[in-house]
Amino acid sequence: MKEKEFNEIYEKTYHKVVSYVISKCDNLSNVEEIVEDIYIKLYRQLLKDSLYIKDYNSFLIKLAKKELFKYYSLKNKFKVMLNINTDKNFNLIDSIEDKSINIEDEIINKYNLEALWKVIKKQTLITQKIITLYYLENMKIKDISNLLKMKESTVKSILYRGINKIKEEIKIGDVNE
Amino acid sequence: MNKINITLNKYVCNKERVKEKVHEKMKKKRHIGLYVVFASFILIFMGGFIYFNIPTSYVSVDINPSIMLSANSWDRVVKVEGLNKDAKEVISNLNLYGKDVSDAVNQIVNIATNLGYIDKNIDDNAILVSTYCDNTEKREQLQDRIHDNLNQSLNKNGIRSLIIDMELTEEDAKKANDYGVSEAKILFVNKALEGNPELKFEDLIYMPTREIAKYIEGYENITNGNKNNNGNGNQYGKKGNYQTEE
Repeated sequence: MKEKEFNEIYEKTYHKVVSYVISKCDNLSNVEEIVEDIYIKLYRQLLKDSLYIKDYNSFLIKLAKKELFKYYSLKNKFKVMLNINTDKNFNLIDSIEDKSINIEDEIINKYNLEALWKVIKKQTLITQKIITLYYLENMKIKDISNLLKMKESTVKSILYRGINKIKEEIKIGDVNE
Repeated sequence: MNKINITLNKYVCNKERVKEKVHEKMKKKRHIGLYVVFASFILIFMGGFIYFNIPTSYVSVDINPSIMLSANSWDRVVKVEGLNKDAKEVISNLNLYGKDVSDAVNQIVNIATNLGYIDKNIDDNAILVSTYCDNTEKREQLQDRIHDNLNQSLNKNGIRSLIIDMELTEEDAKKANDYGVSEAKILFVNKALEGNPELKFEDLIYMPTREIAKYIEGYENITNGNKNNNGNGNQYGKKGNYQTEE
């Protein structure tokens, strides 16, 4: 009974929780563990029959905040937040359309997963986050900009540059091989 | 699904994987919870059982059969010892574990009566009830309760008997252990020896209680007085009560 209830809530809230954790974390490798802990806490709460949760999204975001706080020291947390809100390093490239970022690129596709992950991890944290939100969570540029509190143009710019950089690095890697 | 998406699903977060892990961990945690509850229950039960079996007071009943009862904090019998052959016969017919100590004394007296150690047809029966407890107040309360209950039981069954209450000491306990009799009997024999220096301890120690009582100064007076007055006597312990059939 509780399992069914949990699964329903999970399906409804997963995207929001993951995107929030991605936006606030300082290492993408921690995301899954943090999300897992958030949902374990939710499950425990559900097992308490007396509990009434009006808005699961808000409840889970609160849990996510607590979990993130547990993961990172206050100083690191602060640093991550500052990074997220820094727009000055990026030029405005409003002309870039979402569709121009071709992810089906042959160069990327022939690369093995581990190598590709290494290349992604070489990017700046904000680039990694935007790429993850864009490709993993299928978020629109507008939604990513709202979540990260950045300008849409900046998000586009970072995404575009990030993908190009990944392609370049893969090419270099191929040449070296 | 493109390669970046697959990579991120593998290295950042995967919806189905997280869901499975949460379910798996919750199952484990529920099992751990059950084990903890079970272990706690066992510990509480064992602890309770051990605590229940710790004797805090001792009551010895002496008719001729000499029986020692050990009772816990709630005055429940946790151990029954037959100190002589007759006692073993009496306790073989009883299951006193967990019973209230005063009810246990009544049952011992009833069985002893059925087996002929107390004679309904004579007036000079004697039952020695001695108690030992570290807490003097508690010992006195226990002794009074046993005495009153036994009194009622004897009246109900039409048994005439003197109930002699005594307080035990550790020294008596040692001597009783050496002779294989109850501590109360040691006290009773000592009392008999006080007025009869010609008698030997060894001569009296294995005599039935009612026989020893005859050597104790004032015993006859008590019984006679009680018989005449249908009242209580108090000679050797806190209470000495001669029961009469009304």
